[in-house]
Amino acid sequence: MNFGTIDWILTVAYLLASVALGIWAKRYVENLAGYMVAGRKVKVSLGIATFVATELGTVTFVYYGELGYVAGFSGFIIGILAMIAYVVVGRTGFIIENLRRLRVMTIPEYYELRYSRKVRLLGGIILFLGGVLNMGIFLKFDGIFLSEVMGFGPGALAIIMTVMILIVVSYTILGGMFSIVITDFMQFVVLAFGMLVATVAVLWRVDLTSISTAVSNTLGASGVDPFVNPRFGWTFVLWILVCSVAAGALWQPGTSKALASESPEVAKKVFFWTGLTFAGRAMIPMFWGAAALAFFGPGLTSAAAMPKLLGTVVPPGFLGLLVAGMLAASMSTYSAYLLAWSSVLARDVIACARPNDFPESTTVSITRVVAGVIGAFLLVFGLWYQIPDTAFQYLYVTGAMYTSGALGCVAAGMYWRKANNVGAYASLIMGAVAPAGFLVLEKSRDALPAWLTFMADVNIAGILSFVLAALGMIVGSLASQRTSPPKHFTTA
Amino acid sequence: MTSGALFWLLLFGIAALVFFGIAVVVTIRGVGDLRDLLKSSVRRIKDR
Repeated sequence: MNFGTIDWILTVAYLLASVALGIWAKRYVENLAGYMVAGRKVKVSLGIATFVATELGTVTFVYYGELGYVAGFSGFIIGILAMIAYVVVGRTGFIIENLRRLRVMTIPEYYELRYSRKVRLLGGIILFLGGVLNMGIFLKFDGIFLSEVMGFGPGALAIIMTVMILIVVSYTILGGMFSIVITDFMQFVVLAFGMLVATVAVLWRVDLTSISTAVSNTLGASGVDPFVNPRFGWTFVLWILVCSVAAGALWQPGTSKALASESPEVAKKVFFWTGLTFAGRAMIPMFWGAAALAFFGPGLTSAAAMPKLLGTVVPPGFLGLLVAGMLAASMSTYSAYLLAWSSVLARDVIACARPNDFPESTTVSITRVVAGVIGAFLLVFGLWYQIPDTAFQYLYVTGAMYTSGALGCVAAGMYWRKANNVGAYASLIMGAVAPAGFLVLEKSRDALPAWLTFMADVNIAGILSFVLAALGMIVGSLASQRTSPPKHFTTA
Repeated sequence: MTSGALFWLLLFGIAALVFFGIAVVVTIRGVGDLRDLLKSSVRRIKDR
């Protein structure tokens, strides 16, 4: 076991502080807007802290670390693409500015304003399914990371997962977005410090020349050139760029940071500055993964190599800080995702199945119950599901299930006057087909007829989802302008 | 070290500096934002 007494003290103290702070924040929840978007009072620095903390979970470290171990430096391109996408969204205000101006709390609310209540219901269902499936593997990866770093081995996975989910569910259910913003800030500080500790420890024990040599010797040109690496290539780069723009503007846990901002201008600044951190967010854990390749050589389980390195090179005492940082990263991500998906199910699915919305207090109660149910589901799903390809591609393809259709609906809704209900339905359904097809078909890859094997390629399925969603919107809208005239709607 | 590796390591250095630099600024300024958020919420609750 790598963990010493001082590490335990630091970790337990951090966990207790998080729970206490999260529950204490409940006193600030005065109504539905307080629960879901922190009363729309979040300023720039706090917005950046909560956004970075949400988008940096332990799962992020594990999948990027895994990519660094198996693909060397060529995976760094992902960080550059994400940075470009979020900076562009922040600079232009693409979608987020209008959503904030409309004072919506969830993205599917926009569907009802621009299209119809039924489009909102369908969009809510797809967003919820894509989001929960996407989140399904978080716990498993967190468990792998923590058990490797702490030195318990895989046997402790279930216990670690259960403890983590119980803590997060408890304060998210009680305090909603207020708890999330307050705990996220503390978690941001702890996780940034933990990342700094880990980076210094890795550089202390593994020099840059060894890392470079290991990448060149093991991976050759594919370790430095993403267009040569068979895992990536042009299709991948194009897909990730489009997906990052779509996710930047329309991924509910991230977009909720814009919706909770003090004003549309603050929302843009939050996205711009957070975007600048996204290159480091990807490259730092990938660098640890490449260092693991130099330290251990190839042949380890790819997801476990980087955590094993950190467990080895980070000295006792600092290991407690690192684990607290990673727990901070996980908890901030879970809480934001739990609130996002439970809000969508409560407001955009359950309420939309009725003619009128529930009263605010009922909506908050339903959201709390749903958050608890999602927590239980994550525990079960995370334990048995076998993840296809690398975790990174799984996360992006489940994300594409929703973001491709949403990009078609929201972008066309805001910037194309001919967008109508039929186009919105077609975009949502066709955008979900390719990723859902991939998740089903890749399980029986060998039994597929030759003409269908392309659907088991994660990069093709991902890019196809955006193409189909755009086609659905354009063809669907143009073909039905008379039978379903577009709603005249302005965001001003 | 190959030129490709050198290129990516340089980019990594810049990205890490930007990340930790923004983290320091946000940590310092975020305390004030957090105080404002809680103060305005307490005021609204008392006003009701």
